[in-house]
Amino acid sequence: MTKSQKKLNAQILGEGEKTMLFVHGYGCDQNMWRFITPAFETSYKIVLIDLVGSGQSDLNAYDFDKYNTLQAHADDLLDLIEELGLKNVVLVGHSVSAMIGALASIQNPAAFDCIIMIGPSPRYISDHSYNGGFSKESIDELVDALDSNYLGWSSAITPVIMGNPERPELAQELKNSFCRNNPAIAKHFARVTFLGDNRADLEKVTVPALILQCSSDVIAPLYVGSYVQQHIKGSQLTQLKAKGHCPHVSEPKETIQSMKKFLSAR
Amino acid sequence: MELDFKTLYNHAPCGYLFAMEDGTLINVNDTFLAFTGYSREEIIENKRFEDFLSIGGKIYYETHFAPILNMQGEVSQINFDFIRKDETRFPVLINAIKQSVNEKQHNYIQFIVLDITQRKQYEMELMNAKKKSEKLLTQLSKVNKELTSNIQVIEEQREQLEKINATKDKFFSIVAHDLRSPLSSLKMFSSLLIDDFDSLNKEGILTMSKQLSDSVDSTIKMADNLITWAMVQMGESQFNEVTIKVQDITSNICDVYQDVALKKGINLNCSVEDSLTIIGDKNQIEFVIRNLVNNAIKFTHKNGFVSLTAKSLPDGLVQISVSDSGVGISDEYKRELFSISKKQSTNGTAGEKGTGLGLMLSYEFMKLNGGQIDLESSLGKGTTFYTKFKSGH
Repeated sequence: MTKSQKKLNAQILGEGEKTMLFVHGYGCDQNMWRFITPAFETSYKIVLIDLVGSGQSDLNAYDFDKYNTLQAHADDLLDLIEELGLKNVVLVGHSVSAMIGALASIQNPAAFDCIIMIGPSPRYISDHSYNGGFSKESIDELVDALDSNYLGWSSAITPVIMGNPERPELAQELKNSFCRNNPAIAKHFARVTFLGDNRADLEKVTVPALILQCSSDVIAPLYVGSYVQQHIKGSQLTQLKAKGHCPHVSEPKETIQSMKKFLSAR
Repeated sequence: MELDFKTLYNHAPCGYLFAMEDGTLINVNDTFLAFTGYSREEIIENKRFEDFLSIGGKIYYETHFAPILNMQGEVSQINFDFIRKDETRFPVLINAIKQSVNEKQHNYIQFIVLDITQRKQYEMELMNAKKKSEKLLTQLSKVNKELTSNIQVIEEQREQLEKINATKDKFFSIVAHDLRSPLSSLKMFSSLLIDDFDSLNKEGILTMSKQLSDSVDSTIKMADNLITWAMVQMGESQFNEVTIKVQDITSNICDVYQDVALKKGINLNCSVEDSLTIIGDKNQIEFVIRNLVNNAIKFTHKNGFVSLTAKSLPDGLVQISVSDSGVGISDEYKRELFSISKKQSTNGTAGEKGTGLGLMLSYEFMKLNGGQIDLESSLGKGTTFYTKFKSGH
């Protein structure tokens, strides 16, 4: 197991010449991709990771100064790609990791076949000429919400997985791991994610890009999706019927379909 | 009284919400309407669960709540702020389950909403108390750190005091022993002179007077050393840093001690390169070298040798060494040689008296001059003292 593999709790499954590297968004971990990866396992090598500070990654590696920018996470991805010798990588990034993936592709375009950005936003805070959807104060509110819920997070809210015949894939192991993040890191990562501004990076992206846009997504509204599409040359935007911010969790079928359509056309 | 489910539902002591999978509300109970101030028509199929949340709460909902609900089918005990129709807020606790009604798998989500205004206030108080105690803890650890560093300062002061005390002990010991003995012999000779004056011839008086004069010399030397040492101890010694030719120091010393060595039957050999220069206080360095040569002669038997040499070292320093074929110094004694704890002087091979201050003073002077002093010795074979100085080049 390589250094980065350990650091990012990287799991490798499936077979194929091309690799799909899945990167979860803010607040969760690699378990998010459970409904998506089975559809690609036969034709791709699948690499799943937890961003440093999330899930089962090496929390000790989360240096608050270093991870003050998304670039540090992008560098982690590139280290992993190099250590594992991955080529023609299809990077699938959700939310903030759509931007992290874009930053990685700018740094080393040769490593990537394309990037699939689910609910991307280069800038969450609005200003006079840009409608990101949030004000600075709303990010403080989010931190308050984290503050008032992390107590329960650590002990009381042991999520009991109910008898769920439709979803047998929800294994018992999820019980203690899913979306449980260290409160101090979660608050820091929230600020890095939601207060960052990567608008200027969009036009530096040269690899083919697919943007998956949900309907009524409060975190990455339609305006932001089209902004991303307009600023990444040659990118393609697909509007999903799925509502909310996590179509790969709420509407996995539709999400898989859109991804496959894009990939097969390449 | 017959209770029907509809009444139980509508008047339950918590808000009930039913939503489609995408969050669109399809049924709510009366309790929830009372919580929020909306009418049923305003909510049903017009609002989603997230619409009641603050903007920060919405992000939390999308990034944590919804994914967990989708992945696990259940979320419980999540605290949000709900916004009423009149835009006031109240804290709630939410439990939610995702379930399917029929085989076609039309999933719906069921929420219960508890108003926890009072409990939240209590929680806030607890949180504030926690924050306050964390702050106090930080302060405490700061005070603790300060205390620890104070203890360190006190410990250092104690060590200094101990050293000063040892200096004082040494002083008394010198005054009591070393200074008293030449004075005693002075007294003895002068008494003899007075008592036996009539019976002494001229030569006898001359011999006595010479002995008297020698005793006075050594007492003066002792007093000079004591004064110099006391000044160094009090940090009042003059320090004049200049570039000095090594030979200027050594040739002078060699001249003076050639006679002394000759008298004792010792071969004193001085060989110093003409060009060597060092940096330091001339008087102090002279004191050190003189003292070393004096000691070497003092602790060497008849027919032995003493040599004074100097050379430049590869590291740029200049080394002046004094070697002898004398009695040597035991390892045990070596350790105490330069320190104040050495309580008394040692007599030379011909009974020469010392002050017990020479090496200690030499050590202090070497420190002041930024130099080093070291020795190699083996019992019965001899001793070499090495001194190293900054080069004048």
